[in-house]
Amino acid sequence: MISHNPSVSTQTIPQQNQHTKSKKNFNNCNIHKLLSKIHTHDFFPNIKITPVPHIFSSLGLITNFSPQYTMEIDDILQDFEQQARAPPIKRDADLNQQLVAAMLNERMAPELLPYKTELMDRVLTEIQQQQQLLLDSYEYGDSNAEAGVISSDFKLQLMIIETDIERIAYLLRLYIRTRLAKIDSFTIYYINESAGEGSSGGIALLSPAERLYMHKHFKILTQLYNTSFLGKLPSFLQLLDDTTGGETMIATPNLDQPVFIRVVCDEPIVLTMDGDDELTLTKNGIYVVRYRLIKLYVQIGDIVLI
Amino acid sequence: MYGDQANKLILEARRSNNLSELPLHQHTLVKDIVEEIGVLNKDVEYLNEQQSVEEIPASEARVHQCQLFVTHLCLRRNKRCLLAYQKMRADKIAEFLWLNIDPVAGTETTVSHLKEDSDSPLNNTLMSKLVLLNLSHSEQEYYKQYQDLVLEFKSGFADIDLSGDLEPPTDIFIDVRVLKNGGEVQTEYGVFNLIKDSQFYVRKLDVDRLIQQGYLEEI
Repeated sequence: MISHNPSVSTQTIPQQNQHTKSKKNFNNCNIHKLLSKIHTHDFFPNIKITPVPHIFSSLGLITNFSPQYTMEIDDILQDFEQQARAPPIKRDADLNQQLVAAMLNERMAPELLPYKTELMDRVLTEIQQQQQLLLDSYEYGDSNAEAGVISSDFKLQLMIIETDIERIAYLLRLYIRTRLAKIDSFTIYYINESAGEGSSGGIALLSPAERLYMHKHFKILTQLYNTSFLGKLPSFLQLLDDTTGGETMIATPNLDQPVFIRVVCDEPIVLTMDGDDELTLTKNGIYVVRYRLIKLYVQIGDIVLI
Repeated sequence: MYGDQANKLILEARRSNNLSELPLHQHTLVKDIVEEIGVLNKDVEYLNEQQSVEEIPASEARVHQCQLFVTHLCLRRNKRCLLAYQKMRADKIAEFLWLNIDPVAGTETTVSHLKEDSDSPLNNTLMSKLVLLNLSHSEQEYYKQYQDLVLEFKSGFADIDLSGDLEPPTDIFIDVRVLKNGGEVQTEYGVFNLIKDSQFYVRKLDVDRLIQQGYLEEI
């Protein structure tokens, strides 16, 4: 139903031409990316959406259109089709998968995992771009609605993009909130853990924003304790990270918690259990193990939590 | 004595943990426990003093030590109970904050944002007043500071409403039923009035906060 018919778009091109000259800021690559994303996500399994550059992709072309061009319009469209198809499909699906994996790992792991700086930066900029595109497209749709050049697919495509943004925003939200919840429950532990890492330049456990949040939150919590009762106690009871008296006050994540895992690397992994027992994990196998044993594999990505 | 009061406090904490709102701060109980700690501390000092001043026979020394030990245990237990109580309340406050009152600065939400500003102060004050009255002075301070902190953190993620629904989204548009009368709400797709028992088909993003605040119900 939504599948594209090249002859239709060739006919409509002269019409579009007038309207689109003013819209040069349309970002062609973005649209290709989005269209290919629609394709890969399979929102409607029954409907085949061909990621042919629809209205948009011809825009850039037509604005450059001049009489000395002797190529057939169909050839040009075909060129675009090829350009639009290949690389972005993989990239975006990849990004989405990475995000889901990162979110799941973070959700299921008892301790805080290193912050995915690169992934988050990329996803955040892409979201921003897509939202800008959405705004532009709405504007474009509104201004051209009367002229009748907007196909009925146009609104649907925008809806799909919007739904997709919502989904990704949800993943991000869950990821960030899960991290914050962990930071809040083991504040003192992570303050100690992350004390030296700021300058070392290695993989940071916390993002700068999270670090700031952690320290500030701890500060106001301490202030609350102090003003409400701690300040009135004898001085030897005023510590918050007291480890004397037989019990430590610093809550630490329970690394022995059992977790469900799936192996994604090709090589089998051999774990040594408490005694002499060995457990061999093979690809695509699903196991329940103590988190401590597979902690490192999760960090290098050989194992994902589910 | 010896932790009875603290036990009451813990029971209170457990009770309020299951409530949807924060009950009154137990001023007197906390004060009593702090006093108890003071008294116990005096005991400890007295016992220490006695031990160093007098020569006590071996059998009695053991009794002394035991007394000292028990007193110390009580001191620490009281402290832990106080901390637990306060932490529970602080967590509750934080939870409230993430759920309800959160003006987000974002390009995409400005429209719904404006609508919130013109419409919900009434609701916000009513709700936070309900909480604020039950809070002790220092808790109110904490509330304000934490609100600033959360706001600051959220401003780093302008495109995502961090305090939004933690359930996975299904549709962009949903059917909602109005539960409480309210003012006019403006969205990108037009204006609707909050009249009890009426139903609308609206964009989820626009009404998320109204659902959290109890104006609307998803159907």
